[in-house]
Amino acid sequence: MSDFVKKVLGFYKKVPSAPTNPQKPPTFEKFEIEDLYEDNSSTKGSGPAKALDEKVRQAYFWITNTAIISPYYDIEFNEGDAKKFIFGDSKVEVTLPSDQSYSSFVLLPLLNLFARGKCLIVGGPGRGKTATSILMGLIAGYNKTDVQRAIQHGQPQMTISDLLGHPLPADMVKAEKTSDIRIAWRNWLSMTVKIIDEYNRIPTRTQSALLTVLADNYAEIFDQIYECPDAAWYLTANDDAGGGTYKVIEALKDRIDIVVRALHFNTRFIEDLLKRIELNFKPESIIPEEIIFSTEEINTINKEIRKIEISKPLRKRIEFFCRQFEFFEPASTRLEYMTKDVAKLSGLDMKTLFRKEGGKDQVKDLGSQSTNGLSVRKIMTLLMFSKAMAYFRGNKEVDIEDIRQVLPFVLHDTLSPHLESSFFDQPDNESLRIDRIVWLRKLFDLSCDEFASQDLDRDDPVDVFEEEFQKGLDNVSLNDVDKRLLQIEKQLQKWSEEKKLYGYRADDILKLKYLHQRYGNYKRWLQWKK
Amino acid sequence: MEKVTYKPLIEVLKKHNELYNGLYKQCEMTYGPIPSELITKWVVNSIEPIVKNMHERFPESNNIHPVFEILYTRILKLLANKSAISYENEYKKAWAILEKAPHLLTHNPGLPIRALDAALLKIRAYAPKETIRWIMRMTRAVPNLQSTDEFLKAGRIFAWFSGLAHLKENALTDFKSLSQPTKELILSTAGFDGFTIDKLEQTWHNKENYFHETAGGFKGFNGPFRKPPKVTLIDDKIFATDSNNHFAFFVDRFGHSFLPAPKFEVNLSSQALKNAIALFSKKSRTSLPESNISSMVIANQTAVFTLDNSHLLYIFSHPDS
Repeated sequence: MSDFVKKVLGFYKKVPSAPTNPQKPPTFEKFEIEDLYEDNSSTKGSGPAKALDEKVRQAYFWITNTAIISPYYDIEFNEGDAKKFIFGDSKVEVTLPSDQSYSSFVLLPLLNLFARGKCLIVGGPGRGKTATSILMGLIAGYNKTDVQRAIQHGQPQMTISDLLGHPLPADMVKAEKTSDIRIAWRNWLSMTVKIIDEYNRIPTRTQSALLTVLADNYAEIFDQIYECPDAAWYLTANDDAGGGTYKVIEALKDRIDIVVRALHFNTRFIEDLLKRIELNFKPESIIPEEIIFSTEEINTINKEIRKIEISKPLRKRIEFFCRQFEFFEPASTRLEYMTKDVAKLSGLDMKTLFRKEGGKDQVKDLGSQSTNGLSVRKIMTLLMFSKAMAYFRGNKEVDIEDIRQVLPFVLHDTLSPHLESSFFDQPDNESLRIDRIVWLRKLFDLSCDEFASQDLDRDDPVDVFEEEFQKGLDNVSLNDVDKRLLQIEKQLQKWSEEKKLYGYRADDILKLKYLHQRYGNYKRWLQWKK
Repeated sequence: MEKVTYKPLIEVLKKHNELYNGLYKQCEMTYGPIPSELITKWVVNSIEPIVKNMHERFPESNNIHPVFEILYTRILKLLANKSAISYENEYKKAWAILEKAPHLLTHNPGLPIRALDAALLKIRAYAPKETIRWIMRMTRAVPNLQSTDEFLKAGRIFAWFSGLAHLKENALTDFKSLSQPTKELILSTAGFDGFTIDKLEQTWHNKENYFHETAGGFKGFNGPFRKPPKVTLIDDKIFATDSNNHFAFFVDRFGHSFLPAPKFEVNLSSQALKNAIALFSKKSRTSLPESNISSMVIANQTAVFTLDNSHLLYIFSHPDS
């Protein structure tokens, strides 16, 4: 290799030594049993924590600056007002972010590595979906050959044995019972980064076997169980709308934590491509050691991410957003069963049922924009990835913008838009029928606006009841219980005077019903004790 | 930060780290975070010596995990509700009892540990000043207590000696059921060498009418009553009430205790009151402030009266009753 080539490759391997996003060092002092016996100075305290989140940022910048040409900064953060420009008849707004912003195509798969989630990368052929997944495997410390061999390429003839492993032929002949048959498990099952390429080309039956590994972390053949380690998953698909060879089963889709779009190649960067051809440059061959993470480091980062705090005001905004969608008044005559789930299970046409929701402000009623609600899994994923985003940005606490930026990618495949909603008929909202990312972000913005307009930060009656209840029932007298029960009844009476019932209110009512029941049970116990 | 150094315990911690971390997380979800240094300090200084001593003395019992799990769960809860912070000294000394009683932890270790915590709660509620003395007595006696049953009985008897008068009946039954050496051990530990069962059964140590103490007090000063109380007898037991708060009242030479009771009325005729005062005055040759006395009872070698203008109960020994 000539000196010139070595010099050029040396440039590509360079990792900036300056802090990528200088922050105050976080101080985590939460207890873990390992504190009792391990010398954890390497995993606790401000110094190493800083080093690891800095290392994650270095990895991100190395990928975006050197490995993947993705000049898109679609995850925008701003400090103060950002400059905006408007283009074309459609008045498209382009913002120049005033704070460090990121490319979702690189950042979200990277966060997925540390959050140990399941990331689906969708996009047309040749957009770098598989290359990004391979890079994640390499950053997790595997060598290129191992990662490439471990990729499971979806194809219409793929069998369960192709995916999981084969029973040993000799045992097949000798064995008297199935538990005697040993299995030659596929190596990829033991890896902490798992890549399934074109998962929508896998036959339905094999998808079910994949589901077991993906959801429950074990594989099963002939009564033999293989326990897989916790892993970050990367699945790729050319078309997320079911245009593959096989339709992806719903349960598998539901397990996907985050969906990332592979964007098109910006032709202004063809010069970079040219250089790569001339130098025969393959970024996956020269990953700098400084950005390769050991399993312990990934585990530590995962723990640190979980420790990132979500403040109460933010949590309340998430709660308010999430409780908009499941409520569906035409589904039942009982509040508990007024859900989109009940309506779906009935088999009746949702469009017809939606028409029965008369009289409500369709713009204010965010629930009218979706045909389903949010699962617990999705809410947990949203919280986890918001924390991961905050961690990546070097913060100790999640910021509302972290949630706002992550939310569309988490809910992309989960929250289905109700395209007939009159919300989408509004002049500015028609394009939201097509672009889910922008729609979901707008949905969150609208929810936050409604939250602010109701002044729920300062005046949330459920908060008062909740705080009182959280103090516990020890030594609460019968008189106090009676007073609290009366207060709950008064609040329910007040809400019953509102003309329309919206999703957020339904959950409030059910929460008060729950508290009423808890106090009622305690009261009965007190009376029995007397 | 201090670390656990006992190797068999470290092995157990490593083996069950998921469970122990889960227990902490469960506690944090209910009560909020607990500072890491506090948990470490308690584990290293209090739990490790107990586990170490038990395992060294009885290695075949192989129950480091259950003992550690119980103590760890207890300390998490005590730290979360701040009891182990407010009463740090008490809990430290009380858990040191377990260090001296490894033989009690080999089978069903949860029983003595839970009993110890429950005893501390009770003694703190009824006779807070006596808590340390109760712990000291238990510490001295425990190496010679042969079984958990003896441990529980000794605890109850010492609690009675500490002033929890309502335990007298059960404590006496327990005492009678103990072996002679254990009886002597308990009496000598408490400084009552030579006491017989008859002597223990007596409510008071003197045979004269004698003013002993006052009990009760205004709620604002940590007493049980909002208004001046009255006393009455129900089934030969003394009860006290201020018409809103009702208690069964137990008193003897070791102390007194109020136990919450269901609502009851005090129906004392002025003539009955006069008779009781006259009887007591005659026997004791004491002049009582008759006009002020709102109620009076005489039972179980004890006379108790209340005043119109006081939140206290006045207690006399009255051996003839």
